[in-house]
Amino acid sequence: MIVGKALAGWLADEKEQARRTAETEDFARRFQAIPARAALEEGLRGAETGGADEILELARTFLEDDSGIRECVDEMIGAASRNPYFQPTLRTASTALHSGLLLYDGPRLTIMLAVMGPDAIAAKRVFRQGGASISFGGQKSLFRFLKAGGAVLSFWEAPDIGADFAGDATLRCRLTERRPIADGETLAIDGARQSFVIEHASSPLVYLQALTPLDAAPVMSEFDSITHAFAGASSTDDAGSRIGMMLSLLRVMDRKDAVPLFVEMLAAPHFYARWHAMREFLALDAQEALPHLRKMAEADPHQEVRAAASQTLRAFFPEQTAQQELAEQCPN
Amino acid sequence: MKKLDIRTLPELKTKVGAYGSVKQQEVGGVVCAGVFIIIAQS
Repeated sequence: MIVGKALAGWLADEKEQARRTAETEDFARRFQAIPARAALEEGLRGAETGGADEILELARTFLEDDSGIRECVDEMIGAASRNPYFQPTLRTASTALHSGLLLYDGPRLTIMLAVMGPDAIAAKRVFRQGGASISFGGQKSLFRFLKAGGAVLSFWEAPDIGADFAGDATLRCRLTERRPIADGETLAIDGARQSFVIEHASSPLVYLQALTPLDAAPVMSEFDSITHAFAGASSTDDAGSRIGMMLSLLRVMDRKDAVPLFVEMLAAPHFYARWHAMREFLALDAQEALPHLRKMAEADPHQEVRAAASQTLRAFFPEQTAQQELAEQCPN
Repeated sequence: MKKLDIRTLPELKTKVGAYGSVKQQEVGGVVCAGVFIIIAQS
């Protein structure tokens, strides 16, 4: 921490501040030009329509390029040693457990360099209150442990989570392996069905994680760590969840001019997003929603959505539903 | 125009929380900007 006269002098010297800012901007340019990182960018540009596997193969080349990673770190250390006010122009991703910097931060891929201390891991275990779960993130990722920290990992598998996923208390995850990991080891994790738990570490773990939202499962799932039974799910779709909240707001604001947006969201890729849109639509304007509700009851690809739509038709539109059924039975 | 009380409309059997919802964080997982590491229960 910089305190006292040095900080006071810096705060009073605008030219010095501008010079340090320019140095930080220079860092950003040099960092982006590091050959390993530039090659990754170029690869991503050439794979604009690529899926998760293709993107993660590009990431693997970067993760396993020790000299490239060292160049990234050296660039930051050099900048910090020249400029005590230097802050990396990289997004941080830190929690109580780890400190991380995003070496690459794009919509299709993030690559984080992180360190996790054994003390934080032990504290998490000792001071946890309540139950714990084994979580499956839904997204595909690669981990490369630069320093494995003497860590022992347990590996878990869950039933594959696809577009037709239905949360069911009979679903179980299972332990597949428990073993130490080695310095330099790379793990590919498909979060739709694979996960791992850090059981123990004796020294800090330093690792890289590449993560892509492409081809993700519709939900992140959690299983009870004792019974291994399915415990809950949440969305893997950040933008979709925000849009869902916006629909709720539009409904509360009684914005009937937004009906086309509600109709559009009825075709959302995830089953829970489609039903959320329909509930909000029905609460906004039930008559406008009715033909879409009928269509959903007949043809939505997800069984639970069809069932909920049919239940809604019977409960809230019994006459129209009866008339429709009669007309279908007696077309003439 | 008919309006329905949203609280009376059926929910799906499979409850799905919003992205980054508390549910993801309350059970020992760590989720932050794509960070996903789980620590074993002692």
